[in-house]
Amino acid sequence: MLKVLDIETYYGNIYALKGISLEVDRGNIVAVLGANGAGKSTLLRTISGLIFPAKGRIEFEDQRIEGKSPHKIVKAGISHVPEGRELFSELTVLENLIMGAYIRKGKGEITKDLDVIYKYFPILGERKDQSASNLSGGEQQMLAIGRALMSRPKLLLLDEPSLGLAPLIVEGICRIIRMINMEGTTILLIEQNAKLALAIANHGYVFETGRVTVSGKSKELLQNEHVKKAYLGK
Amino acid sequence: MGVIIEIFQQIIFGTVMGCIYALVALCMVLIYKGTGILNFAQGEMVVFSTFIGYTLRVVFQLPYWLVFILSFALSWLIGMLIEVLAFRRVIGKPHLNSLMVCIAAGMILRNATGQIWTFDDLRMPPPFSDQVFQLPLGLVISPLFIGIISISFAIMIIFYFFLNRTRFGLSIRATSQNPTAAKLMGVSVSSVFSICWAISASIGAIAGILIAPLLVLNVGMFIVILKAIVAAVLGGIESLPGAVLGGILLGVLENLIGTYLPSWIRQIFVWVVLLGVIIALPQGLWGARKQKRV
Repeated sequence: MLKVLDIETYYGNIYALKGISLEVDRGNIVAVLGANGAGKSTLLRTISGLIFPAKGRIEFEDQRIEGKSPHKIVKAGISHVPEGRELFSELTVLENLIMGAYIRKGKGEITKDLDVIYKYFPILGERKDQSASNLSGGEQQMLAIGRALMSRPKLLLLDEPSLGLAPLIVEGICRIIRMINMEGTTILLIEQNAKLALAIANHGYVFETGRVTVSGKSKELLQNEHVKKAYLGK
Repeated sequence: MGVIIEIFQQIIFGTVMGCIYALVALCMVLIYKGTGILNFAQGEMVVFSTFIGYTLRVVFQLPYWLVFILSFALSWLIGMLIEVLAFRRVIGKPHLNSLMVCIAAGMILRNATGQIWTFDDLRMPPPFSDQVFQLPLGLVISPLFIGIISISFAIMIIFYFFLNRTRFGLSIRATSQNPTAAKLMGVSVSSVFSICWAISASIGAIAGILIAPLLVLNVGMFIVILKAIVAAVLGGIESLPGAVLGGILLGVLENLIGTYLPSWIRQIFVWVVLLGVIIALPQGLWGARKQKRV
């Protein structure tokens, strides 16, 4: 579904991605692991068109998308939950969700999808008229995911959904991620928490300073000596 | 009793100018919120559009309702053009860059206005009769005043609904809060920017055409219009309701001071208010509760 081939991206003059290749097959959850500054977020930002790669290609459903603007990429079916959530903090929860459906037409369908989101995250339904800045960290993460789903993506890019959240809330969010996946959305997930990521992903890639160093099925990665030592603390 | 009625009369007169300040301040706040640029060239944009309105009315002899519609539409295009040619390039750059562009754009527009039309004074015919009639208690008002106040309020209400009740309005608010996220939602941020400029130019055109009959229409009228920036600052620069209230308050106060104090005080009054607000109330009258959240 998504093929990233030998992507190089710079942040100003800094080399952020040094020839990354990875693949996401339809229906899977793929995790990208790695420490802070390994280039994980840059990869997602490059896929969703927020930054342009200097080299390489990105194919989504056999269409080249590298260098296209973000609004074309959302329309193609990729939705990005960015690092730090990036909510519209002064808009209400409902307005945030409606913004998520910005590229879609048909009010009836959008209203139906709002109910789906409220089913995943009942708290968002209860707080739909409050401004997003009044939500707790976990609720904000739910809203960021809900908003991204409102565009009905085929591929969901998730940047550190567990960051800064209490374990109990992380568990809930993981359950929802699995549910979203089972209902047909493919997921590319970035996580510092390797244990968590490998628990829900089918496939994993390990990033180290802008390169992929190890990749494979989650089960294999869990057994890999280097991964164990560096990321699982064993 | 007589004094109170006279003050009340002056408040009515002041509200007329205040509505114009409010409309122009609204334009400035929209551009500031949308793109982060404080448009010091707004006064020149308004004057340019007012000359267009003058031409349509006096040269082409069009009915006034059509003058409003055509000036609105033409100014829409001019606003977009100015954005694409000049201001798009300084978005996200330091304020100094956009300030320079404003100064340049203002100079160019001022001279273009003079070259295309004239540097002399013109008299704009009023869209409504300016003959005053008596109200109870000895107050007077003219259809022109009523027209200016009601059209201004109508524009403000339409603008409010556009911004708060339409999909496009929502996308403007979203973009002004978080352009990155707006991009990820599929908003073409650059078209939101140019629409902000277009709306500002068009509302400014209506404001200019409404007030020109009460002033002298010439290139220098921009300085009267520019006072709206004080209204915008008074309202907290990011608040649209604040801009409206600030505009009306400013118009009323300016008129009261002009009536009861020497005229040189009136001349500097608005600018003294600007200094005062910046020194004592930098968040404006209504901006106090706003806090930056992480």
